[in-house]
Parts: sequence; structure tokens; C-alpha cells
Amino acid sequence: MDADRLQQRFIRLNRWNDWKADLSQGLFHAAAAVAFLSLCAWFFEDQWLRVLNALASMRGAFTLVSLAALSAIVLIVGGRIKHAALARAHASDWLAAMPIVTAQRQRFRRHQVRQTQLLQIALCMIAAGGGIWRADASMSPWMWSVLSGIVLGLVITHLISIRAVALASPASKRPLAAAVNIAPGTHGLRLLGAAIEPAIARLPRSARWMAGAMLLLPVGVPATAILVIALLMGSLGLSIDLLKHWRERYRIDRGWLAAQPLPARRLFGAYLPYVLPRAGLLVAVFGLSIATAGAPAWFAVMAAVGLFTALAHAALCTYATRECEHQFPLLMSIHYVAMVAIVQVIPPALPVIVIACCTHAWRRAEQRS
Amino acid sequence: MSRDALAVDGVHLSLGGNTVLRGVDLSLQTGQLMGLIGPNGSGKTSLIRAITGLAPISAGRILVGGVDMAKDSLAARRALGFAPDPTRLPGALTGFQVLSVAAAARGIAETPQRSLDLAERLGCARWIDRRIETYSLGTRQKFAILIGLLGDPPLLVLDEVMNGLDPISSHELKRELVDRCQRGESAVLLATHGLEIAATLLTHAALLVDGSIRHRWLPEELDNWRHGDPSAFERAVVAALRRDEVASAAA
Repeated sequence: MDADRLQQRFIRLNRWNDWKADLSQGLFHAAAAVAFLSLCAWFFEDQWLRVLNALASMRGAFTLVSLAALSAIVLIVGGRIKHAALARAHASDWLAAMPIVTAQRQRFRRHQVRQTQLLQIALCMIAAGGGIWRADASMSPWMWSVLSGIVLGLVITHLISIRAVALASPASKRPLAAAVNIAPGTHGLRLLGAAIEPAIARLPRSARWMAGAMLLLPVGVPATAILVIALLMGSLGLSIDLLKHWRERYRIDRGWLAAQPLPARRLFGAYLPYVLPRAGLLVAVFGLSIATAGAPAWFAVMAAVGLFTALAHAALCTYATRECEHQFPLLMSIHYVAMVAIVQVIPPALPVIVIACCTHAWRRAEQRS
Repeated sequence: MSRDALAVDGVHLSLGGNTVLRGVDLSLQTGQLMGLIGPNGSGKTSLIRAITGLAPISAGRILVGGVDMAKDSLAARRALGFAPDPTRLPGALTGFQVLSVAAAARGIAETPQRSLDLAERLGCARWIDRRIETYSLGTRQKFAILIGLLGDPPLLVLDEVMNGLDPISSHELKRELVDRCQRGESAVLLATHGLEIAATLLTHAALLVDGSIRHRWLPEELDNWRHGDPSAFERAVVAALRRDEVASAAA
């Protein structure tokens, strides 16, 4: 067996052993995930059926061909990104200097990409399938269109990935940290926040959001609408990336400052003067884009507040689970299950449960200080 | 005619627009244990990455066991053992599993008994069935060394491998490297800051400053110091570095 496959087999075996060793926690996680997905399915079922019934009436050849092309493009681009990420990882991992045939590692990457794509396709099919069978109108033309796009996408991804991915030398790429421009006179803990990459450096990571949004635009959309969508998706992508980048910086900074007599709250607060204005600006652009797109002002404000709250909640959950990072997804899931459940039962109580979740995260964080 | 275990001819390397190696020449024959010494940022790790094929060179040639790394990296890597950065070892695997994967990468069916014996001598055998993520830096370093030495490659390339090792493991590793060289099994290129190690262990030494080799010490000089004043080598290195600083300032 080749080294990469053997490594993967060992990792799976160890995960399985971990799972068996802590069966009760594994079952609890699985049950929480199933509960969350069931609630989501229940919540979105009607809307999804309405969307499918509306879409079923659009059966023009152009629509169906576009749909097939879109499915293929999503698969090809996704596969290419995954393949390039694996190739970059392989270029500097612990096996990089080993005498392994290049084609062998390429084969492994192709196998990994194919596995991921098939899993994604299966999940999408399961998610969409229930609605499709229960839609009033026949969705067969759409199904065939998507399926042909998937087959085309898989074949092209395979053909493209046979060629080696041309990799820029990691060192020849400009490090994103170089784009950080710290104002003179900044000192102390404020330097931690000031070292967060500016939006311009993070933009390439958010570009896929915009590219995805552009692909969804029908033909004949005015240029102003395209600009609004670009701003909307750009601000959303940058907001999420700001949170992810801050989480990564916070994790690293906590690591090297762990032995210092620094209260957890002070370290958490050190980033706020930089993160809050940036998040505020992005959220404002997000709200303005929605308003410009023609939505009522109250809806735009609600959407902006919702995005800001979601970011703040995720930041508080990060703070609360700083000592046990693996609990972050669990805490978020529990809070979101509570929110979705409340929306189903008493929708106006949503702000209360959101505040309660944020307070819970804050109190938990303070208890661990 | 003896073939060089390693021949580095006029190697240039640029990283991110900066030239980090400027025409480096080195040669190493089986049985030799060469120390690569130099200040921080002098290019030692870059040279090692170039030798192992991890950093593509912009000019020059690297031959490992007579095979050009640029032309046939697979054959060159078969003749080379490299201890990877211990922080890059996969934390989800156990030490034994990592050795199995490394053996598979070298085309060896099972982890060789010699590696397991060395694990015993380095004091890491009792950790072998635990996950790497639970290891201390020193234990990770020991497994990285075992990976480098696995399969008895004729050239060993080791970058600061003494870091984090306890006195017994450090002693055992030095003994292992010297034994391999004396038996004519391997040549060793060892990048190190530890001049006391260099003075007692090396048969050859090279001083790398600002991406080029500024000074070489031959076996006779090292032997004289070894049997005379043990701190003489340290003084010689410091003197060479000072001379270089003065020359750079004058230029």
C-alpha cells in the first residue's frame, strides 16, 4: 500500500477507535446533528417546495443547459481548488522529501478529490431529493439536466487533474501578513489586533463567494444589480473571513501568551478596537446592498443586525470554548438548535433566545477565566 | 574512484525575491560527518531544503549518490534520509504508525528492526503506541530522527536534530551517527548551532554566512582541537564570523 493511503487508513482507524472509546459522546454529537438537520428540514420544507414548484415551470432549453453547465462548473472549480490545496499540502508535508513517485501522490489527490465530490453530490441529492419527489410539478427535466452536468463535471475534473497542478513555490508567494500595515505608535496588546490582515489581503479568500453569486445571476441582469450582488456577497464573505482570521490569530496568540499573567478578558478585548469597526463597516455595506437591491429598509436593517449578531455570537462562542476548541461546533449547534426551535414555536421570542445564547457563552467564558 | 554521497555545485536559491544561497559548493563522501555551521538566517535550512529537493534551486546542481536531484528526484531521494520538521508529523497517528508510513514511502514492507532498536536506545520506544499529538517536542524530534535514519540511506541530512533531546538520547544519537560513518554506511550532513557537538563529532565543518560558504575546516584541524583545547573550535568559528563582519562592513 502506498504511503498516503496507509496514512489515511491509520487516521481512519484511530478515529474509529476514538469513537468507540467515547461512544456516549459520539452518539450525543450524532443525535444533536440529526436533531438540528431535522429541525432545518422541517423549517425549510414548505419554502423549498414552493421554490421547486416555481422552478419546474422554467423548462426552456437555455435554462436546462445553463443548469447543467452551472452544475459542471461548480464541480470543476470545487475539484480544482481542492486538488490545488492538496498539492500545496503535499509539497511541504512530512512525506515531501521521501522517495515517493510523483504520479502516486497525484493519484492519491485525484482519489481524494473524487471521494469528496461524490460525498458532496450524495449529500446534495439527499437534501434536495425529498422535496423533488414531493413537488407538484415534475422535476424530471431539471434532474436530468443536473445529472448530466454532474457527469460532465466529474469527467472534466478527472481529465484536468491528470495534469500536475502547477504550483507556485510557497516562498515565492507574497505572504498575506506582509499586507498588514501597523500604524506607528501602536504598542502593547493593541498590536495583536493591529496585526489582523486588512480586507484587501483577505479578499482573494472571499472571491469564491462573489464568483458563486455571479454564476447564479440570470442573463440580462442590469450592471447595477451585478454591482449590488458583488457588494452583498463581498461584504458577507469578508465578514465571515474576518471572523475566521480573527479566530486563527486568537488561537495562535493565546498559545504564545499562555504563560503570561494576562487575564483572558484583556486578551479577548485587545482585538475589539480593530475587529469591531471592520465588522461594523462590512455589516453596513451588507445592509446597504440589501436596501439598494430593493428590499424594504426595515428588512435591510434586520439583515445587517442579524449578520452582526451572528458574528458576535460566534466570537463569544470562540471565547467560551478557548480552552477546549473542539467544543466550539457543539456549542454553536446547541445554540442554533435552540434558536431554530424557538422560531418554530414563538418567532417573536427569537431576539430573547439570541441574547440568552450570547449571555450563556459570555458567562461560560468568564467562569473559565 | 569514490563517488560523492553528496555534491553541491554552485547552487543558487531565491525565495520570495531574496537570494538566500549564492553559489554554494560542498562535497561529502561516505564516512564523512560534516557540520554545517552559521549564524541565524545564513541559509543553512534553505541549503538543506534544496539538497532534499524541497526548494527548487535557480542555478547549480545537486547530486545525491551521483544522481542529479533536478533530473531524477526519486532516485536521489532513495539515497537520502531526511529528518522532517517534528512539528509537521501527523498528530493523529501513533509513533509506530508514522514509522510504518515512512517505511512504505521508502518501499520497505515493515518497519526495520534496526529502527525499533534505535527507538529503544533513544528512549522513545515506550511512546511508540501513543499518538504523536501527545508527545513532547523532544519525543517528536526522536521520531523525526528515526524517520530520517529509516532504511539506512547512504546520505543523512539532519537539520538541528539535537534540539530538545535529553542527554542520553543526544549521546546515543551521536554514537549512532559516528558508528554509521565509521562503518562506511553513510555520510552525514548536520546543520547545527551546537559548537560543542561540532568539536567532538565532526570530521569536516563548513561555515555558511549570508548564503555562501566562507570557511571550511579539514579533519586535521578538527582533530587537533579535539585532542587539545576543546573550546578552540568555538573560538575559531567566532573569529571567522568576526572577520566576515569586518569584511562586509568594509565592502
